[in-house]
Formats: sequence, structure tokens, C-alpha cells
Amino acid sequence: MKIRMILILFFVLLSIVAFSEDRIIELEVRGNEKTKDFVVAQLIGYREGMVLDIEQLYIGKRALEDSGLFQDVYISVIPVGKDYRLVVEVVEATSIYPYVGPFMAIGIGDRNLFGLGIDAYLGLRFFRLGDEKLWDFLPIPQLFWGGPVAGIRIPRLFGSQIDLSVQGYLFREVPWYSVADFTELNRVTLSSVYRFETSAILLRLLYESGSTEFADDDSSEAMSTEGVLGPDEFNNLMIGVGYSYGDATNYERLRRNLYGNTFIDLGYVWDLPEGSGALYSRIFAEIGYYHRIIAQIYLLSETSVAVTPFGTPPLTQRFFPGRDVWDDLSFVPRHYIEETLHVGIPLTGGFGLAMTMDQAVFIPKLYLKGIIGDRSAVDDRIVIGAAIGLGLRWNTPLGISLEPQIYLRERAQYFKFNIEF
Amino acid sequence: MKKLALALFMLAITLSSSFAQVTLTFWHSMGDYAKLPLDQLVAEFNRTHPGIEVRATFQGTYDETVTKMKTALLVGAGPDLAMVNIEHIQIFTQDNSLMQLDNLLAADPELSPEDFVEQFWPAIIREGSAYAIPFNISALVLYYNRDLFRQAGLDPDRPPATWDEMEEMARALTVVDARRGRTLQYGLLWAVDHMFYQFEPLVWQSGGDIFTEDMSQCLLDSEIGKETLKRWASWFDEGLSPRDLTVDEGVQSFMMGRVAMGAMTSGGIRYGLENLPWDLGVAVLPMNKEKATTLGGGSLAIMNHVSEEKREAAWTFIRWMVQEKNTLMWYERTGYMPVKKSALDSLEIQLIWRRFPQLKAPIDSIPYARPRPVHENIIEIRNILFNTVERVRQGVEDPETAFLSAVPRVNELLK
Repeated sequence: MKIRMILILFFVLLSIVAFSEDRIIELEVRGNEKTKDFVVAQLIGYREGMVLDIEQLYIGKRALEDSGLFQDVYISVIPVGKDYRLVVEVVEATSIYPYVGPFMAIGIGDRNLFGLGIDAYLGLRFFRLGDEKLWDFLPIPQLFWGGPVAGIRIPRLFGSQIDLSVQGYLFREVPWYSVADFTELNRVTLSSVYRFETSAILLRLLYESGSTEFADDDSSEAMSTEGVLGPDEFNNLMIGVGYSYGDATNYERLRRNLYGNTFIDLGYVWDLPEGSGALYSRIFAEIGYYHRIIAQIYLLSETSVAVTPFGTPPLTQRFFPGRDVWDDLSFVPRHYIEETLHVGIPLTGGFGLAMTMDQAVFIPKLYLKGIIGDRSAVDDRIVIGAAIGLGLRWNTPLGISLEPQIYLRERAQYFKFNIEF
Repeated sequence: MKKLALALFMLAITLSSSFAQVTLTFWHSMGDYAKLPLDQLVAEFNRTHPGIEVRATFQGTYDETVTKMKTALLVGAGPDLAMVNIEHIQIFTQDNSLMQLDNLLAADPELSPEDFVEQFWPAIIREGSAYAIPFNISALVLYYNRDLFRQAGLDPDRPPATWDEMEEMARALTVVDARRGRTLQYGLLWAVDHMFYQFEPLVWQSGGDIFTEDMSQCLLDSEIGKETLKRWASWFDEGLSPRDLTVDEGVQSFMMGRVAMGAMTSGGIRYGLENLPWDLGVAVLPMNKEKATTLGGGSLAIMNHVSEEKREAAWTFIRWMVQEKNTLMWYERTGYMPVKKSALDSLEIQLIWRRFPQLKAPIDSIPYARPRPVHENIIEIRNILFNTVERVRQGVEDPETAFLSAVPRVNELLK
């Protein structure tokens, strides 16, 4: 009897507590001309009868802001009886954007296709920098047919926390550093991201096929003969799982910000010249640390670690660390660690110290790079590299950032030009 | 033919009037950091109001703007609307430069004095009438260096709530090189600038007043005024607060991590968060006998000389600037407080606090906030009082007697 009374009391108290919470029973979306209401509801995580929870709404508002669909988001609540109506006022952003894809594919994208919040894009490869150079250093642009690329990204699929994306391309004449050229390279990638708090888990499935022509020089020929760069013709199926944490996109929002990601991939390559297939795996991790020293002057550290536990991945899945700064043929390692450290001094248009990143027009930068890795493509030696560089980023009024960089490394220098949209 | 010419002329007149744009010159004192969000607000207004173009120009500090406006108004070249420091309103109402806004408010169904935060509205009232609309209102709050709190073994989530606690913490936070006899780090910055801004809440917190309610007499020669001055001077005498630094130098030292806490305006919170090389904490000012803080900042006023068309356009602009959404954007980007009651009760402000918890302190200060005393001779009065406390800070005048000689001179100006 006593236990029964206690149980009744417990459930009465529980129901009082449960029903005393403020709840949101309606959603009203204002200011959306193109975007469907359900897209806003999915992004903000609205469910009828949800508890009025500031933390949840904060995450939802950030999701709306970060979706790229809106230039302004304002949320409020209006009492409806004992409950609330959630009002989301949005100002839609331009959804059409110029698409710049892999291997200099250029096209057009719409972040909000038919108002469904789906990002869809289409690009073509018709422009490349040829071998001929003006004044011995400026590559001359050429027109050619290099194939199409298309993709879509569906955020918050069916109201879940999952973002789904698919990308496919059918490319030809794809240069692969100075090592090889693909006469054909076709790929389709399916990936899904599940977000929770400040982390995300990523699953991806990739299928690709390619035909390779190795460069006509001694070292590439030797490598291709020995098979260290993988087969000439291949099909590759790869499945990977990843974990990311922190905010790599908006890393400048906090004074100290740690972010990164890790991927473990397992793949199977077949149609090898020998006629059989082979398994391989690879592990890759990136860690970024942003530290605002004073005013907007910052230090950014980016560390990459890669390991190939077993097998030989096809050329497309090999590591080419440092890309442009290191000589392509010096590394092609199975394992490596690379560190890039840079200090930036954001300045206003009048060359005064910027007080906010929004004011930054010019950012002079000092780069320090270091790498240690094996030279499995050529021999078993361990190679160490270092470079020092200077860059000057210019945030143009058009929203495009340009950054010429010059690096000095052992007995050589390298010039690089970054364009960011 | 004549008919055609007349028709064309009428069409031209109609077209030109339909495309006519009212251009408003808007003078303000928001330089550097706060200029960017202000410019963004103005740009958004211009985008959403095709018939009006507001041209905002920075005119220097509040005091510099006063001088420029006085000169410009004399030669008929003043702005159409301006951001006027709340304590400077009197200067411009006296010479009839500012438009009385009572009629505009009465005729506006979307805006009424009741919409504004109770403590802010009296700041723009002169002789019973509104001469400006509150916009960039700040409160004096306690900034503190959370990193230095941790280093001194203090809890950074528990800033001082009373003067006693503040003194105790300042002692723990003051670091002296005993060998050289030099202070390496000060615990407290409570310097007073020529606006006398930082001294006012100390008197109120001690249960006293600076002037009588009718502004006819200065009360700082009271026992409370004397005790407040003595307590304040003891912070310098004990070496907790730097004696040889001006306010600006003190703020620089605070920014460089050489001073652990200090009373500063809430209008700089976001600047601090984005530019300081350490973790910033912000709290309500510590209390003595009671809680109190001073309101500062500016408001939006329309000049009396503007045409009816410009007056309507200026009023549209002001009404838009103080909309809940815009006043909250301004608060989030600067630290100046939202001026509408609805903004304080909004869901959006709670989301702002989730992201920037430091912005909550000025809002928590509102129930204890008082507008600054105003008088036509306030600039001269402030100078006398500032010079008095300065001499005490430098140790050349005794806090027991300092106000005794200053108050009669202030009373002369109050007559």
C-alpha cells in the first residue's frame, strides 16, 4: 500500500513537471519567397509540441544561418494559450552561385533548388593551363573538352540530422601532378554526415574507374614499371568512415579553436594487369588549431597525418602531401606527417590593424612548412622537407579572395596563387 | 502640339516626383569597431526604403561632435539628424537646435514612450519633452581578466559582488616585484575620466547623491561624498589601482593583461571579445551599500531646421533603427543595450547570451541604472569635479577636504 502511494505520488509529480514545461505547438515562417516552410522547420529542428529549449533553438538558428540559404534569420515566440508559436523571420540569400569544382571544372549551382533547400550544381571542364608558357613562367590557357561533373547535397534529410550528398563526374585528360595523366577518370561518391553537438560522423562510398598514362620520364617510368603507383587501368570501390569535430568552416569565430577530422578507408581495386583484385586501407587525420594572439593577429596550425596500413591504393587515393610546395616525386609516401604554421596580420583597407575579420582587406602572412615521410614510390628512404613562405591575401569587394604566395625551399622557390570564392 | 508639350511636361513632373529621393545627412560618433555595424544598419535601411537615402558620417568623439555641430549649425550647414550623447542633449535644446519629438511620437501608432526601457527614457527628456530617441545606451560594468583570476586562484565565474570582495580580490590579483619595489600587475582600474562618468556610481552605491533632484545644489560635500572619495583614494594609496596612469593608459594596460579588472562602458564588450588576447569576463558593478550603475551613450535626434519632408524621413529612419530586431543586432555587435522592452523579453536576446554570455551583465545592471545628471553647464561642472578627484588620485589634495572647496564652485554654476 505504501509503495503504491509512493508510486502514485511519483507519477503525479512527474506529470506536473512534464506538463509544466513551455512547449512550441506551431511554427510560422515569414519572409520566405522561394524556400518552403518545411525546409526551415527541418533546419531549425521543429517538432510540434517540442519543449521551448534555448539550447536547441540556438543550434537550430545556427543551422539556419550556416545553411547559406538566408542572409538574416530572426526568431521569436508568441504565446498561444499556455503554449507558444515559434516565428522564424528570414531574409533569403541569392541561391545561384558560380560553381568551381575538381580539376578546374566551372559551372553553376543553386543552393536552394525549387525552394527545397537542396544544393545542386553542374560543371564542365573546358579550360586548362597548358604546358606552353608565356615569358617562361605564365601558363597559357587552352580550351578543351574535359567532361562534366554534377552533384546534389540534401541537408537534414527527411527532418533527420543527416546530410546526404552525391557527386559524379566523367572526366578525361586529367593531369595527376607531374606523375601521370588519366585519359579517363570517372567517379561517383555518395556520402552522408550525421551531426551531433559540435561533432559529426561521416560515411562515404566511392566508386571510380580510370585509365592512366604515366609521365614519360625516367623516375615515373621506373615507378610505373615497378607498380608502386598502382595499375594503368583500374576499378576502385572504397568505403570510408570519418569523424570530425569543431567548426572548421568558421574557425575564426572563437579566440582559440581546435577542429579536425579523421578518416579510415577500406578499398578494393580490381582489373589489375595481373587480372586479380587487391584490398587496401588508408587512414588520414587533420588537426587545425586557431589562436587569435591579439586584435585579429592570429596563428594557425594545420597538421596532417597519413598512414597506409596495408595494400596499394590506386593512384587517385595515394597521398600527395604538400601538393604544390613539395616536389611531387620526392614523396608519394605510404606514411607521413606534415605541419603548416602560419601567422596572419589582418589589416583594413587603409592598412590599419583590423578590429574584426569583417574589416580585414589585406592579410600579410608568413608560412612555415615541414614534412617527414617515406619515399615508397621510389625507394625506402625517409625524407624530410622544410619551406618558408610569404603570402598576401586580398579580400576583394567582389567577395573573391586572392592570395599570391611565394615559398623558399631547399635550393628552389615556388610561386602559388590561391583564389577563394 | 501645345497639348502634347504640356502632357510631356506633366509626365516629366510626375516621373521626377515619383523617383524623388530624400537624402538625410546623419552625423554620429561611432568610430572604429562600432562604425561597421552602424554602417550595415544604415545600408540595410537604405536598401529597404527606396525613397530615402541616409548618408552617415563619423564626426569624432561625442565632445568633438558637439563642437562640430555647434559650428555647422551656426552657418546653416548642420546635419539633418545626429547621434547626440544623452548628456549633451541639453546643450542643443537650449539653442533650439533639436526638434521636440512629442508630436511625432503622439502621431505614431507604432512607437510610444512605453515601448522603451523605463530607465532609458528619462535620459532624453528635457523639461517634460522628448528631444531624442534612445539608441546606443551603455552602462558602466566591471570588465575582468578571467585568465588572471585563474592564475591568482580565484574563481573566474564568481566576480566580486561587493566593494569588500573587490578589494580582497584586487589584493590577490596585484603582483609586486618585491626586489625592485615595482608593481608588475594591478588588481583594479578605477580611474575617472574628464566626463566624471566612473565616479558617479560610486557615490550612488554608497547611498548618496551627487546633486539634488532639481539640480540646484551639489551634494558631494556630504559625509557620504567624503567617505566615497576616501575609499576610492585608498585603492590608489594601497597600490591596487595604478596611480600614475590616465584612464586611456589604464585601459591599454588592462588590454595588455597588466590590470586584472576595471569599470568600463558596456559599449566595448564585443570589441573586447574580438580583440583581447585573454578571456574576458563582464559583471555587474560591485555594490557598496546598494547596487547602482551609470547610463551613458547616445540617442538619435532630428535637427529643428529640417523640412517637413526630411522630418518624416528622419522619423522613419529613427523608428526603423530602434525596431526590436535592429536594436538587438546593434547590441549583439557592440554591447550597447537594446532600447525596447520587447527586446529585453525576446527569445533572440537569450540566444545572444548563449553565444556571448558577457553581454548579459549590462542587461542585469538595468534595474540599478541611473541616467547621468544633466545641466546646461554640465561640461564646466564635470571639469571641476574631475579636477578635484584627479588631485586626490595624484595625492596632492586630501580626500577629507577636497569636495569642500569644489562644491561651492559647482553650486555657483548650478544657479
